[in-house]
Amino acid sequence: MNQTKQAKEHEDGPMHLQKEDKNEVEQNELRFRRTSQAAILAQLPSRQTFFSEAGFTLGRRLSCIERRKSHLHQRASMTPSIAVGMEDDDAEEMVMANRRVSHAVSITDGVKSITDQWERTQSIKAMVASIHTKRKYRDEILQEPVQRTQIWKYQQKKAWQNFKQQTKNVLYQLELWSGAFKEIEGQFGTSVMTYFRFMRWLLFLNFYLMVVMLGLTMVPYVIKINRPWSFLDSPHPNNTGSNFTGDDFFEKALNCTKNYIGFLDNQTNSEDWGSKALDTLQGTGWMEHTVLFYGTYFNKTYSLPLVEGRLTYNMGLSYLLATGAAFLVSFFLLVKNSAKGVKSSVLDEGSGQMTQFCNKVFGGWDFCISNQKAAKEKHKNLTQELRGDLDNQKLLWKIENRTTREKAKLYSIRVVVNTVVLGFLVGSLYLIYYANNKLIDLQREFGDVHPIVQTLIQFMPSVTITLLNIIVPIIFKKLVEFEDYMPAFQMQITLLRTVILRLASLLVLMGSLYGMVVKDHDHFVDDCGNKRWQTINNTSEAPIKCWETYVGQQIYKLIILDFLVPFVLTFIVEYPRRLVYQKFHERFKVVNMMGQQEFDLPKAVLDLVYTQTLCWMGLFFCPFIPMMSLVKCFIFFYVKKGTVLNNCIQPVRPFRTSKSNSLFIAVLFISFIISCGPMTYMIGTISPSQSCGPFRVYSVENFIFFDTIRNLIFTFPSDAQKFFHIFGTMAFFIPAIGLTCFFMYYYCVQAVGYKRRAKLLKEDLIMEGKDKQFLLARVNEAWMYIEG
Amino acid sequence: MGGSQSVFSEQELSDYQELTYFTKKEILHVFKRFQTLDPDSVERDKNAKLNRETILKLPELQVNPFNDRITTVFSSAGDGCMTFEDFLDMMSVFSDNAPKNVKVEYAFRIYDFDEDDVISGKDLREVINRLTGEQALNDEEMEQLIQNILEEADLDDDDSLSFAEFEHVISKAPDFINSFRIRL
Repeated sequence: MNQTKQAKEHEDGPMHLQKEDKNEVEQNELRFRRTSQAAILAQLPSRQTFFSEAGFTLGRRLSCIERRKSHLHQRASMTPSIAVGMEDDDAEEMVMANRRVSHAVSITDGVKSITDQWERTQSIKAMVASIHTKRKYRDEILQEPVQRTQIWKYQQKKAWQNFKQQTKNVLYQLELWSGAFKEIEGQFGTSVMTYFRFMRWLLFLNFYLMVVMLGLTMVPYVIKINRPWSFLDSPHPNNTGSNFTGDDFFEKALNCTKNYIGFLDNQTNSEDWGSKALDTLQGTGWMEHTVLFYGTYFNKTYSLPLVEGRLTYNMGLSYLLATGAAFLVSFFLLVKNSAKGVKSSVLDEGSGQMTQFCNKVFGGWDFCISNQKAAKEKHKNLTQELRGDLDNQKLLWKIENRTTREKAKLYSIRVVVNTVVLGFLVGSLYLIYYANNKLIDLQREFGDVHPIVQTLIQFMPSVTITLLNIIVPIIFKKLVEFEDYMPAFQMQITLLRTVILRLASLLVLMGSLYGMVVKDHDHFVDDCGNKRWQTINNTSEAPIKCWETYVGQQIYKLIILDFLVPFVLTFIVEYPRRLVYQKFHERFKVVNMMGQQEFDLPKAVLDLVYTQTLCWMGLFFCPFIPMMSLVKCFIFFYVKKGTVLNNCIQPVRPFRTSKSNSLFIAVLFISFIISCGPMTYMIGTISPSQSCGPFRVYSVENFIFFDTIRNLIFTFPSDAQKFFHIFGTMAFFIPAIGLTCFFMYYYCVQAVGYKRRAKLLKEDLIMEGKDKQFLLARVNEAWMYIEG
Repeated sequence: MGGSQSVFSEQELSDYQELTYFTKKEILHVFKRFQTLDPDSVERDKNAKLNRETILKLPELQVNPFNDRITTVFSSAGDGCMTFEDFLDMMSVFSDNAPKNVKVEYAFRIYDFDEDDVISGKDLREVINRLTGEQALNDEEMEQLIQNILEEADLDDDDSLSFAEFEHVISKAPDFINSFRIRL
């Protein structure tokens, strides 16, 4: 039918063609061209490999093995066997026939030894075929005669593979919460899942930290082998041969401790049950002398029954090393987790090409969703997202066409907003600092008021921080709308600002604590390593007789608040909001406008990061903090799961899963580095208190924490000492830093080179494609010519 | 659990373990899910062929906009009926352990609605319509979207995506590997 029509048109001559006929001719030509093109394309070597049952990638791999052999193979089959002037149906049949005949390399090529055979059977797994086909191929491979050489290599590999399978089987059963994950995923998709996965990862991190800290500090402390119960009962170190000043420091420590314990007993004995309960919240009073805080630990000297003399467990050293190990473990786990994210993000931005639309369309539907309601939501969200992206694109076009005047106005607005944000940040920080200082004054004024009021006053700095952390991000979110950024960038910049707020508030707290603990004060006597040992002038400000425990208490209070406030808020705000919405949203427009609770992913993640930062900062002063974080993570998982499944709807603009995970880890990493700072500074410069803790017995006049390690090194043989001394000198540090910088630069340059190469290769690909089109068009012309 | 274990011999289980991305326990779990779709037929014959409607009773597939394409692609007979082996195959490809290239190839076949081995503009239109569901995009938006996709992915300017182009663009789409999976 095609032919006859075309013949008729040629008879009439091109001049007599009507417009519709012309269109029809063009259509026919197009169809003809397409089918004949398809027939040619089906014979291309790349298509052959694709259509072979081995699939594209396996076929590609196989054809690389023996290129020469396959070359001959394919050359024979390359003679074009397309009949000229064929009909549509014939062409289609031709395509089908070519598809069925596999000209790719046979699957048993290159299989010589038994190891090869085994490897080939393993690679069957990667075939894109049904189980039936795979089985067929596997049997084919196994039937090939092979040399049974190097059997041991094959057996080794097989054993290793089996071992891996077994461990995977076992580990799969131990996975925590996988059932809950599936439930959430089915309803909300993968972007909300990243939050819960992050929570689980933090749980395990806290578990390791807990094991390290408690194992090295608390466990030796409570072991019952003739240990002295309190420092006051510790035996004097033998002073045979040691310098006289050693005893001096020990005496000093004894006296300070006596004073401190007397002071504490005075306080706690005059307290009733109510105050004792309040003390639990604050960590003061009876809690101050428990294992919870740094204060009780000291160097234990055991006298074991069968061993001559006495053994001393150097609690100070183990304390320092435990803290160091905890930070190292955290660092290692963080780097491991962020490596995964870095790899995928480098791939993403590697060639510098954005594929957001393809990503959304082909990877947009979450195949995990199993819930009808969630599916409807997902459809709605996808449409909104696609519309949003299309609008973004139009916006981008508009931005390119912005006039200079508009740009100037926009930039000035942005400068103003940034200044306002900075103002808010500085204001909040000053508020925290002020609250800390006011605390002292308030304590002075209300020294003899009801204990509950006292507790409230104690909690004032922590409450200030928590309130600011809730209110200021809302203000930031409103402000960022004035700046007219792209929506994704808006989210990122709000997140960045909130992170700065949280970390800065913690740093300010640390700073004000530092001011209290290390600076000299007028009203206080400096003694026993504490700047606020005793009050002069009969002020009612409380002295701090053990500053490490005091810092630990502040952090403990923050953690308690951090646990209670979101917990209470969830039950007070989120559940009632849902009930109100369900009952009233048809009647009252206001309720409808307020809408349902959306799961605020960035805020939830920031909460987790904040808890972890508190944990890292307080590790040293209160070894139980990892355990408290662990318990909090565990309980919050169930609370959050409940609220997400019952009260929340899907976020309207979900975070991209891949990018969000690396963002969370990056924020966590920044917090980690910031919490390392105060710790290292403290260990290097501040003197410990002489009335409490494992460092109370000085060895030199201006003892600092780090001297414990220095003393340890002094006990090593002199060669080892020299080796360690090198670490402290400049001769080590400057070359080390130089070398690290050099390697970083080298890898950066390499990455830039790879990007460029990828770009060049892509251009080559495009050119090849264009060549192919050109050649196909020529072939078609040739046919048409022969045809006509 | 004990019941389904006696259905397969040890040899069959290790066979399946070798040919799919599942462990033995996971295979048994998949069989349990398969059984719940139509307990009577599977009781009688563990390799029973279940028709498309029965397979689509699985909750994960029921709400999926591409469920008919999935059943067609994975069914060995080509008409949407699946035996247990087909079902296992499907779940294996959608599992976490399947390598990316396998998922990409199957995704290509699923998105190729007219089965002409390229994802043409028509296929794209169908994919987008399925994705958006009830709130379809209007013509202008659809055109803009299709143009964008072809601009990003079509390297040889033939207004359709061949497998190589599809694979190339998916390798730069980080969300694909996360969303193209079903966990049983």
